[in-house]
Amino acid sequence: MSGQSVSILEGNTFVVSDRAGNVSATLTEAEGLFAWDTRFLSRWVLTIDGKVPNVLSTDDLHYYEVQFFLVPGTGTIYVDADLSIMRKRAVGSGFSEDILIRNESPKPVHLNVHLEAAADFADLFEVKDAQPKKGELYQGVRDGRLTLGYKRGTFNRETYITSTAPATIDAQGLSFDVNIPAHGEWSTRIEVEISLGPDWIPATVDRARGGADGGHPARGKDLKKWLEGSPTLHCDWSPLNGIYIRSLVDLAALRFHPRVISELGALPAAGLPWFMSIFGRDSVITSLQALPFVPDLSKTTLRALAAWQGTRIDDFRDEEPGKILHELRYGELTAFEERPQSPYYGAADATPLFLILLDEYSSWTGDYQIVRDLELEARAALTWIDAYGDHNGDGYVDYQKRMETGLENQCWKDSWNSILFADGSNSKLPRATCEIQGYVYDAKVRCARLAREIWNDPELAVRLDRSAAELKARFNRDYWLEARGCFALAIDGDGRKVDSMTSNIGHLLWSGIADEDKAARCVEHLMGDKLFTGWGVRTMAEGEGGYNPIGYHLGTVWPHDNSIIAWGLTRYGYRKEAAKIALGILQASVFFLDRLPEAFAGYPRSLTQYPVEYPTACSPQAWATGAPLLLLRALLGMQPVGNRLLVDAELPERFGWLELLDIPGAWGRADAFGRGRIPVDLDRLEATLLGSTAAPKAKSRPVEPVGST
Amino acid sequence: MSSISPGTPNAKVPQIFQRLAAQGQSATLRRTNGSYEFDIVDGGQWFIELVNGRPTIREKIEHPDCSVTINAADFVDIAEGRKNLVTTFFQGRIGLTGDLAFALTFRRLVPVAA
Repeated sequence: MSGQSVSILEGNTFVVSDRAGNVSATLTEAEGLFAWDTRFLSRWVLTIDGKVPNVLSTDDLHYYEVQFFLVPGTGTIYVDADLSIMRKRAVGSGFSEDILIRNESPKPVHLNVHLEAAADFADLFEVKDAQPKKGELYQGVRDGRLTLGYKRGTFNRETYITSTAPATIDAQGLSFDVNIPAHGEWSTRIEVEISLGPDWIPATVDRARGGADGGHPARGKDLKKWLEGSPTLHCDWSPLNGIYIRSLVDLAALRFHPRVISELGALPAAGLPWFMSIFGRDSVITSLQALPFVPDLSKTTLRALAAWQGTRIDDFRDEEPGKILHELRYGELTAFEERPQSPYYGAADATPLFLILLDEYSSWTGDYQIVRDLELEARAALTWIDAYGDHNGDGYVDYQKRMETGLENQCWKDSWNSILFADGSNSKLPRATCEIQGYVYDAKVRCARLAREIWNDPELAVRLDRSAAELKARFNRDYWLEARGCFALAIDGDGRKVDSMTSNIGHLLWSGIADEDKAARCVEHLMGDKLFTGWGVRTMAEGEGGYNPIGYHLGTVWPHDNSIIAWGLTRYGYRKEAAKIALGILQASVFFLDRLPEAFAGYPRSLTQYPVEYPTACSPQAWATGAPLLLLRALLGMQPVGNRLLVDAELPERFGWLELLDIPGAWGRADAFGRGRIPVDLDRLEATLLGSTAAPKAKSRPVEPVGST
Repeated sequence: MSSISPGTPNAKVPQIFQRLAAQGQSATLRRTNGSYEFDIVDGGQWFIELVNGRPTIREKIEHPDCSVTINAADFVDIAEGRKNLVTTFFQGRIGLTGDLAFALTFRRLVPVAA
């Protein structure tokens, strides 16, 4: 995403434009109106008398609404513009745009206002991979509206454009012959609607509520309710308050209620622009991160993923009974089975992660009904782990795509070249990455508890406990690289240990699979210069053969990865280290205007002073949005214990006083407090940029950080 | 219906519904209740009630949760596992009114590719 683009979104509909509000997409650029994985508008350009106005300012009013202030170019700084142009756009199932032109001069003006419109109906995969269309595009004026369409057999997508002001409409757009008196104004509302064929009723918002203004109050109210229902944060380190609110708002923006699930609630879509859909791994991890703040996301995620759990062997979709999906898409390529996402099941970690979320959600909320409701699905997931997850019989869950269209890597580092040896050479399939074994271990330990306490199946509990213990013992033997002092990234198809040093070892702390002595050595690496940049832990250590600070999974810093690592460090008692990572990531967030991207470059902080953007990172992206929330949980040491919330805060000194109020859970609502006591030596010259602990330490507040239940 | 040859898609439709009704409860739909109307082009109109994942053929259901319009060949291909219900719907080959999520649960009542 370019820093010059502006995005608004609602559900899985989003509009990406330039800062003037125009869309001039090429096949490879993610500009346009997108919905249901299809681009319904690829060109949308406003001109006044044939010229594109200049931008004065662009304001993101809400995640679903933006306004653009423009003036005609006069060609010289010595001549004032005498027209003000305002475009206000709100996205719903399509979008509405209010255009207002004010004549600031004492003379009447005559203008030709033109909106050029076109749609290429590109599948999002076509935009991403620059593929041509196979069907037929058409345009025309029907019933007084501009219709842009695409047809491939029975597959039909259309865009309809109407205006409240009289317009001359042709296949290329809408023209307005406008006369504005002196100091007068002219306005129109444009409605852009989409159709996925007669049997897809486009999702809700705008038409039913009367366009941009009509949809606004309902969405505004919904956002207000969302924020009011979340815990309240007060921190002396002022940037954290903004980061926290930004995370909650972005999480609200990414909520998604696809019509293919029955649940009334929403689950998080993975990220803008490429991943506005259901993803097993992303939805689970985001739900885990957000659990202490907005637990309902987890509930919907669990039920939605259970509803689409695999039931059969399907090579095209990498589906197996009990497996949790990776991705569900709705576009043309999926419809014609040129892509397998209907849904696709190529994720080896989503299934154990689903089980982990089931346990974590029920522990946090005390909602054990869902554990009873999903017992069959949980058992099927456990069966998948043992019966289908291990392709080569070595006792470890691994992955290997069965068709060319499948994913090469089916772990969270899913780029094709992420699982490299230290010499930079690629490993062979099937690959059993280390963090997946950790997730499996954790899932079995957690499900043993559920079997014992909820499912009344002590035999299963014993079997799972035994299996988990045996896995832990084997893993610590088979994956350990004594010479490097860390765990192997993976064991590959040749049975070789993939010996690159990576951030994956941090996930092993979260899952608890690492022996204490080995964990200690991993922590040294995680906090050492090879992995820790000063902002966060790199995906791959500097000095490895494949290392590249701007390689997608080869050296960049991923905020969600770091939040999981910090959680793992907390689990093993490395609180100072967790605080250091948390502060680094949160400080980086300030440079990204409180919105962490999916990933940023892994250059040393001492070299760049600023975190450097990764070129094609999604933003907002769900698990990056969730990262500050999980970091807060880790720093506050929040853990549910029965119907009580245990708080054991260890905060960076810079934070000063921090309080998180009204945390929802099995206890009803509880508060957590903490005072920054851990000196973290990260920033020097950035101090003024990153904010200091502005507020004095309040004497009236408790001296010791205390938890409240 | 007299012109229908045995083995043609429209002749198979009744057999498929009878088989569906005889198969008993689908475990994965054990908490799912609702009703389908199938308007099968040259294959008749069929009503299925699903109670805790157990399908039953009904003479008529006044207000089904979803109404599905499909041609007989596509229906038979889906029901016999040669076509995927989800992608067939995404292609626009299936007409649907009502609850889409419920309609797509039908994939769990039929074998393999659906």
